[in-house]
Amino acid sequence: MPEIYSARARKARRPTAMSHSSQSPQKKEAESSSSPHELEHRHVDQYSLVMKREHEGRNPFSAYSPKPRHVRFETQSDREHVILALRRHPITNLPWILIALVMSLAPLLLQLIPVANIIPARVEVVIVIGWYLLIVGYILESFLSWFFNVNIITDERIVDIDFHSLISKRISSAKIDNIEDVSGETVGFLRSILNFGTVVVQTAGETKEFEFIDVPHPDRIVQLLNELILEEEREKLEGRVN
Amino acid sequence: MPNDQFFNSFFALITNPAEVQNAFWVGFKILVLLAFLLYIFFAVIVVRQVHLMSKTFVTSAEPLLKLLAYTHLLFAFGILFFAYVIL
Repeated sequence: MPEIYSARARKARRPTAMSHSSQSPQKKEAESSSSPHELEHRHVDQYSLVMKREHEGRNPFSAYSPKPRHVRFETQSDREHVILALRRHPITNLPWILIALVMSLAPLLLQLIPVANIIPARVEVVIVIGWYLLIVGYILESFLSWFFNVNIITDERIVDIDFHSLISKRISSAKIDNIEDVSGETVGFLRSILNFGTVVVQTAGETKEFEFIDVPHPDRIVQLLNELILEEEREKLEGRVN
Repeated sequence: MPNDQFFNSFFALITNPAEVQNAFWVGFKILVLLAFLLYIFFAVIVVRQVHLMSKTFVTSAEPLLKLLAYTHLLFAFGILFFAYVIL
């Protein structure tokens, strides 16, 4: 019997209580699994230099969330772990924030229009409240659009969740094995200063191209994807199955 | 004739400025209430969408987002009621 299947080997591989407490739940789960194949499954920190340096993402509103704790998605399988959850850089929200600010100042202009004087006060109150409600709706919709447009990298695949409008969503994914080319670009002054850009992933799957638009640290993402591709190849060579 | 009576009363209505003004504000009130009803429809879609997206992408922010969406819906109802009372 190979060493990896024996109970002794399993026990030897199990970390001590002290080291256990400092590890992430994903790592614990990977190491405490009973199946031989799962025993062979390595935690991302073991093969990725990028993830080794990153701390667990705890902020659900973060645009760059490595090894996020409470993140799951609809089509995630039980043995699949989310490595990185990405959104557009927060600065990309600036246009709608500015629009909302300008819109919120508009009722002040009402005082400057002479026609406004003939409007009864009660009507004016309703118009102003309705206007601010409209702004709140616009802010909420813009925020939700940013929040739910997510790119997810797991140890098995990349997932793109698009939330185009209130009534349309699109989820596409590609296995890491199917990735053919990964490139990242940071174009423009603001992107260079704040270090965000677009990562383009060419795949052999049904969706030919994945674009992680305006995501933070595109260089790290490219490096991570390359590390994941290498790990997948290593798994194949070593006969490890996930 | 009934037609003559109708035209006479209609003519009297449109030539009386107070009546015209009254009719205008009634029409305005109906339009405003309709607009707020449409807004409630939008707020319901937002709630529905937050539920749907929270199933698609699960995070710890889910309760907060649902609270936001429901508060927004509640405000939309509140303002419809407020407009109905005040106008």
